[in-house]
Amino acid sequence: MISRKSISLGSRTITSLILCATFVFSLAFVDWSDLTPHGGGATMLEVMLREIISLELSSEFIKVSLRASFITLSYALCSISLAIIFGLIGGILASGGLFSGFLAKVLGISLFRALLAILRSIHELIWAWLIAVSLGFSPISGVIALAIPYGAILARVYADFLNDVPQAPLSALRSSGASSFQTMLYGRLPQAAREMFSYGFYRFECCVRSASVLSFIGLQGLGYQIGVSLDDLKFGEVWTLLAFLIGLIVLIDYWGSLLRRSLS
Amino acid sequence: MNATQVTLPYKVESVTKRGGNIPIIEDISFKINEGEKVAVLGSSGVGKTTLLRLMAGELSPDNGVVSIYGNDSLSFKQGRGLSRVVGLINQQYDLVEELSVINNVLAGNLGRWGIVKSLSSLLLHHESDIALRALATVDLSGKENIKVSKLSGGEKQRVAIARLIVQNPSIVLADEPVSALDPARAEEVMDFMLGYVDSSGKTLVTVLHSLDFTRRYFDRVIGLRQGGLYFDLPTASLTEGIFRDLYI
Repeated sequence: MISRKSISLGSRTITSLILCATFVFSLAFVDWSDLTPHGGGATMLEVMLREIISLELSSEFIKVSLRASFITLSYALCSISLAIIFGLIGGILASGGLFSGFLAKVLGISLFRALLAILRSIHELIWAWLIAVSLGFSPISGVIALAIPYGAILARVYADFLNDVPQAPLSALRSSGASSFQTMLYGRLPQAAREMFSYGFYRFECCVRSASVLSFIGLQGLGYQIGVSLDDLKFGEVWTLLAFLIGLIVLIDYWGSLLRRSLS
Repeated sequence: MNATQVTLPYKVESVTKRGGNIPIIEDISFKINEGEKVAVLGSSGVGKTTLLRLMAGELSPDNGVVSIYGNDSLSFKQGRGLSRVVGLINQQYDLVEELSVINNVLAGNLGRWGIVKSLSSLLLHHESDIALRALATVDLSGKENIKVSKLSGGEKQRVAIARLIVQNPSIVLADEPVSALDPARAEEVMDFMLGYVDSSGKTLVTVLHSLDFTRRYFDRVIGLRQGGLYFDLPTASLTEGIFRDLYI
């Protein structure tokens, strides 16, 4: 017992040392002379920060910002809706709750989880790039590019939620004649629903952020407008747009907590 | 095997069940007749729940056979097939707290329903007349749309009985159905459960701890001690002395 403990302690120390060494070693590869890409970098940063107090608040620009926020929100909503459908189906399959028999369960779970791992290990920006190449630069490409990795992440987390529900009600359902699918409908899903809803809403927030980044693929909205303002070095406008983005996230968070409260 | 034996709800023959190498139930045999109400007594850890799970077809015996209406308990298809014959009531109610009362009661139909009907029933409440009648039987009329999590322990156990009424099995197995309730609620639940069993002529096997309840509600009492059958008596012959011996 004692020797095993000291071995695991030792291996932990060794792992930590290797990680530290790797970090120090990697520092040698950073080109320190190139920290500021162009000479005026510091000045530009100063200008940018100074502009934070001079937000662009003309009614015309507020209108532009509102419209951009609405567009970003719409794309995010489309993406997350698709992702939730995908996440639900994937989550149910990857939870193994529909398979009976040990072998089917193990095979099913590993197969679907591996598939989800592949889909979510690719970042939405890369999905956007891949999909844009095949489907063209359009809002639909953007929506699909977001829905794939988000759906896979939701599915993975949903699968765990569906597995972690109290088991006694499930066996009571089975003893009153429910099949695996009926147990899923009447036992697993209702018991996991609140957590699934909360997590879905959290991912919705993330989706708004991601949707604003995907402007290059043809998703108009906040990200696109920020890009336009940055090109003109109009930092006041950039800050205004960022304020709208933050406002949007806060609003969604508040909306989510209201819905959660009414559900419980 | 003659005809009367085939129709017996239960025939337990030399059943042994081990946990690892230690026998939990050892060489137990008994028969239960149609419509009989049997209480199973014994101290904690003596194998009462194991015996009930063997009778419910949830566990397979290491030795011996449990026959339900003349068929090996293991020959029933788990879930669907068995649910028409055997219904269970547990100590912890085991309802889905997030669902409404009516959906928990309607779940008693799942063994007969297909996927589409069970899915749409979550919103449309199919065959709700039977479920509402069952709820009226256990005095829960008007609570059908409340979430189960909002109910008290006694009410939850009554919902579980209503689900059993909808499931309509021939045999009811109850594992300490009132242990988690205060005496007044416990009596209420026993009244409802026995009322249902008596009126429908079901066979009932219940694991219990109470001498009082055993005498009041049951025809026959089986005592387990150290994994074996200690006594099997008509309730009228159960004296306080015998009862106390069981728990020594």
